[in-house]
Order: sequence, then C-alpha cells, then structure tokens
Amino acid sequence: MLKIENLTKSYDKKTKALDSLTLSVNEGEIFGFIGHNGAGKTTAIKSITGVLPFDSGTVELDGISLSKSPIAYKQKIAYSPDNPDLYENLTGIKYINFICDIYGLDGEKRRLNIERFAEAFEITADLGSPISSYSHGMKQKVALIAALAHEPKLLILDEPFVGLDPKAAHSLKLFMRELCDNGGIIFFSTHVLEVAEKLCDRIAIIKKGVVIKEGFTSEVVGDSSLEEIFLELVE
Amino acid sequence: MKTTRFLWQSLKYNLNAIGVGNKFKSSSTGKKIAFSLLFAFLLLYLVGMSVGLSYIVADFLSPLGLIDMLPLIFFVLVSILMLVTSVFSSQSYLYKAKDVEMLSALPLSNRVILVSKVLAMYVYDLIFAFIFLVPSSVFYFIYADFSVIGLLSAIVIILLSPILPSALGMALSYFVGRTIKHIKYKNVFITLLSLAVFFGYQYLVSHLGTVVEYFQNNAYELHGQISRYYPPARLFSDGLSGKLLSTLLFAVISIALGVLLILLIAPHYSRICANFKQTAKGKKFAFQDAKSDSNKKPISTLTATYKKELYRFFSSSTYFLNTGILFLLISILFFASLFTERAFLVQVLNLPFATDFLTPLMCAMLCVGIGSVYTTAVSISVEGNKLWIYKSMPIKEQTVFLAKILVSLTVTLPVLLVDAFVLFIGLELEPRDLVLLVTVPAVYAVFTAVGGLLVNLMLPKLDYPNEIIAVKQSAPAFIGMFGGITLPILVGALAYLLKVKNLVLFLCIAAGIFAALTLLFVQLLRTWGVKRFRSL
Repeated sequence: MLKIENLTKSYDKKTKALDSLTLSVNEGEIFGFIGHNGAGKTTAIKSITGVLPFDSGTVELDGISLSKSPIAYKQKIAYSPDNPDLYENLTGIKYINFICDIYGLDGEKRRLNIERFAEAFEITADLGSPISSYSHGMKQKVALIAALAHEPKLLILDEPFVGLDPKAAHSLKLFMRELCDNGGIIFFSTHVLEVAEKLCDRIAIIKKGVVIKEGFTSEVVGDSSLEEIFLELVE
Repeated sequence: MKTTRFLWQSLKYNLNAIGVGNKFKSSSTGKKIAFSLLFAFLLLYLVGMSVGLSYIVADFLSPLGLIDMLPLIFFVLVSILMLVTSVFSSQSYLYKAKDVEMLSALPLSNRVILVSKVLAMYVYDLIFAFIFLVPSSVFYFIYADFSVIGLLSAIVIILLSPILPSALGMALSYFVGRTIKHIKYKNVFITLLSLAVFFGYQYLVSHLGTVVEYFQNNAYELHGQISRYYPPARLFSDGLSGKLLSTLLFAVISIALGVLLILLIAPHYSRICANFKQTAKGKKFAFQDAKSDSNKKPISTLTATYKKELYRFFSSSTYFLNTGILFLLISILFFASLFTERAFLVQVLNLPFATDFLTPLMCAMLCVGIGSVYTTAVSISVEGNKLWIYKSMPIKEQTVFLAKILVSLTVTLPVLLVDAFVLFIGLELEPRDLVLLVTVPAVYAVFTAVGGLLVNLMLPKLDYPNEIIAVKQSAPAFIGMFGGITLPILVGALAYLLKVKNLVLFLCIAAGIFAALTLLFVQLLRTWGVKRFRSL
C-alpha cells in the first residue's frame, strides 16, 4: 500500500506547491492523478519518487518510509517521467541493462522481460542504436521498458501516453492492468481524461497543491463525465 | 524594431547560457562576489599574458626596425585563435543549436535566426580580439608613431576583426561536420584529430628556438609572406600606421564577406541544422545476437555505476578530451623531450645535489599533470537533466560519488604508474624515490578527484543548451582545472620561499596535508554532499 501523508513542498518558502497532500493507494489499484498545468502533479510525483526533496510529511510503501529507508523504498518502485531525458550516449539496450543492474535483475528473467516489453512496444530493432537518435516516443518506450523490466511493486508514471503511438499506448494499458492484477500499484498523472476515466480504479483531482476530490472513479464521475467534473471543480 | 529586440534578447540568452549574466544577477551576495573575483582573475590573467607578450615582441622588434610586424603577428595569432574556436563553437552554437527548431516556428526569417546565432559567436570572438589586439596596438603606438587616424583605424579593425576568421571557421566546421557525420567511430576520429593538432602545436613550441632564429634571419621575407598570404593582417598594420584607405578596405571586405555568408547560408539554415542533428543508427538489434545480455550474472551497483560512468566519459569526445587527456599528453611529450634531450639530462644529473631535488621536482610535475584532470569537477554537471535517473534509483549517493571518483582515478593512476616507472628507470633513481613518485602524486590524484566532486556539488551547472558549456565554460570546470594545476605550483613556491633544505620531508608533509584534507573532504561528501545531491 502506498501511503502519502501531509506531503508539503514549497519552492520559494512562500507559496506551497503541495499543501498537506494526503493519499493512499491499495494493491491492485490504478490511481489517476489529475490536475491542470501547475496544479502540483509533477511536484507530487517527483516527491514520491525521491527525485525532489519535500519539506514535511511522509511517504510509505508497504510500511517502508522514503525518508527513513530510501534505498529499500526505491528498490520497490519504478518511475518514468513526462520528459524522458535519458543518457544519450548509451544505446537503448545498454540503458535498460544499466537500470536492471542497479535493481539486481539477473540473466534469464531480465532477458525475457526486456524482450517481451520491447516486442510489444515494437522497438526491438532500434535497441542497438544510440538514444540520441531516438524520437520522443522511442525514448518514452525505452524509459517504460526500463521501468517495467524489474517488475516494480509501485509504478509511477508522469504523462505516460504522451508521444506513444496508439499501439504502444494500448500495450501500456494492458501492462498497467497486468501489473495491478499481480498485486502491484500504479500511480500516474494524465491530462487525457477519457483514458483516466476508463483505466483508473481511483482518481484524485489536485488544484494548487491540494486534493479537491478523491475516490473511486465511478463515485467521482457519477452520472457525468470526468471532463465535466474536472472543469466544474477547477473553475 | 521587432528584429532588433529579438537579436538583443537572443544575445542575452546566449550569454546567460554560459552563466555570465546569471552569475552577476545572482541573489546571493557571496555568489556575486565569488563570481566577480573569478571573472576578474580570469580577465587579468589573459590581459596580463597579452600585455606581457606584446611588450616582449615589441621590445624585440623595435631595435630591428620591424615594429610594423607587431600588429601583423598579433593579428595572425588572434585570427588563428578565433578560427580554431569558431570551428568548434560553430558546431554547438550554429549547426547543432537546440533552439533552431523552436525559433523556426516563430514568425522570424531564417536570416534573422542565423544572424542571432552568428552574433553570439561574434561577441565571443570579440572578447579575444580585445584581449589580444588592444595591448599590441597600444605598444605599437608607443614604439611607433601615434596618430588619431591610426587610433580610429585600430578601433574599427578590432571591432570587425572576428568576421573573417569566424566566417572561415564556420565554413570549415560545416565541411568537417559533414565529413565526420558518415564516420562510424566519430569520437575516435575527433580524438585523433585533436591529438594531431595538439602534437603539431607542441612540435612548434618545442622548436620555438628555430622559429625565432628563422624569424630573425628572414624577418623581411616573413613580413612579405604574411602580407601576401593573409592580407587582412597587412591592412591592420597599415591602418595603425594611419593609412585610412587600408582601414576602409578592411571594413568593406569584412562586412561584405559577413553579409555574403549570411545570404548564402540563410536559405538553407534549417535544413543544415536538421542534417547535423541526425544521429547515425546502429545495426538492427536482435536479442539472440546480444550474447552479453543473456544469462548475465548480477553485478554490484558500484560496478554497474562505474561501468556506466566510464562509458559516459569515453563516449563523449567533449568530456574526454577536455577533462581527462591532458595528463597523458603531457606525459608523452615530457618523456619524449626527456629522452631526446639526453645531453641535457646528463648535465642535470651531474649537478651537485641533483638527487635531492630531482625526485621532489618530478613529484611536483606529476602532480601538475594530475591536476589537469578534472573529470569529477564537472561530473555532476554532465548529468544535467538526466539527474532524475540516479535520484529515483535504489542507489546510495555515496556509490554514485565513488563511481565518479573511480573514473577520475582510472584516468590518472595508470598513467602515473607508467610515468613513475619510466622516471625510475630513465633517471636511475633509488627504490625510495619510486615509492615517493607513486605515493605523493597518487595522494594528490585522490585529493583532486574528491575535491573536484565537492566543487561541482557546490556549483553545479545542470541547465545548459550544450554539454560544452558544462565541461569547459562553467565555474566548476574552471576551478577544477586551474585549482588542480595551481596547487602543486603554490606548494613548490612555498618551498622556494621558505628555502626548504629537506625537500623530501617537505613533500611528505605536503602529501600528509593533502591526505588529511582528502579525509575531511570524504567526510564532507558523506554528510553535506549527500544532502546537497538530494536537493539538486
């Protein structure tokens, strides 16, 4: 279970990018994080991945605290950012292998996982090329393979569908569901409300660093559409 | 009006990209003072060097009645300097500029975009022109006749001087870039090319005596040859002596060439940039071919990080050539001159007390060479916008630091060991000397590696349009390199000032101090460094 309590972050000590953010996500859930630009989605995601230090609050996964045991916490998570800036001098396969080395994923399992995800994202043939030759979508695919390959308990994705072709986007949705069916957790942000509505078990809408609506998708949406609810709430 | 405003904003952005503008505007007073001091030191260093050189050359030429050659020589030198920098900077600022696609989408003509890029290069080159041509012009006026027309000519020509070499540099850079684009091992080619240039330069320097002799014997012919092969230099010299027509001719040629170049390149600029940015793809990948990736044994996080850092270092010619290769080159050249000048060596060895100062001197020289390696001082900066990868992975900050330090030691220690053994055998030293030759520089290698990392954590440069800014033009790069080289020289100067008799003991004490400082730095890295890394 992912537990976020009173997460607060300020960049300039005046305005709070995150104001006592409190959320919890259970095993098997796909959790959608929605908000307009500058609402605090990426700040929240970077904080719970350990990329950005936060001012106060706690982040725990299965009782393991990010602040107290960062290595043990990070061993169980994977992150793919909205803008996949990867090591341009490495080839795709070298980058993925480097990530697998750090997570301690060994031989056969590593090969099978990478092969499976690479085939699904149709990028196998290009894995031997330097990342500098990749398009945005190809970099996104490599970042996703690296994130999925070590079978994380918690997968954190920031705008994962941006830049992906329709087939890859479809494959990603299947992999997300599969990971959750195996007891994993997905925490992802998106601006594509139709995707969030169809894919997420639970959603939270964030505005100015504060969660203004949270719950099961069916409860939040009710008889309207997520788009209508979102526009109504953020106005 | 709109175009002028864009060009001004673009110029400001380009200056800020290398950190000049931002550092002066920094909110912290401490940072402002530190940067101002650093900037003042660099400027004084370069101006001082130029003034000194101008004086020496002027003083040498004047009695020979050849003072007219002073502006000629300096114009040729600064033109070569600007040509070389333009060849390299054109790649990053002109043809591979990251913002060209974005700018092309704006209601701006290709010509305006190109001018904005060329303008930035012009300003950089103008700094060189001021530093090297102003002092030589002043000394010309002191040693020769001064005239108001000469002064006006100097101002006009200095202001326009970057145009010709920059234009040539841009054209050369284009052809070099087009050629190496199709070469598979591009980095190897660039490295070999740079080595050839370096050794060529060193050959020239090592034969400076012959050059000076040739210069003395053939001064008049040389004057004619320079004027014939590089007429702008002659125009500069004539302009200073008050020939207004030469100045006007120089101005017309420079402006015409600049305009012509812009008009020629502008229509194709977007296409050229797109071509330059394309990276060659590798051969089609297949899992059954990737033997190394199947059944791979798990490796430690340190090994994985070290491997990645080492690959990162050697796969970037910018990183590798600027931060790591000088020690190896200096060693090769040093040994070449040591053993080719055998007579001089025997003379030195026969000096009284030679054995007392030879080993400490060699130790100091090895330390200076090691100081030129500053891989760790930019190792955080080169992560740039990829820092999220390390920060989101289950890896200790100390492991990342250690991997970066190990890369630095991988560059320095093998060369040091070879150097020490060659010196031990070549100079017929005692085993005790060999121990000193290995341990003292090794301590310094660890000190500079750890210290460099601390400097980079203190002053990281993570936001840049081109890697060369982080590797060459950032504050940590400057501190890393000059600091590393200067410290052993300062220690040597201290020994000289204190008239130290037992240099070996002094060296051991200095090494002890460096070792103690290294331990302190390591402790700082484990505490403050970890916190700082997390906050980046």
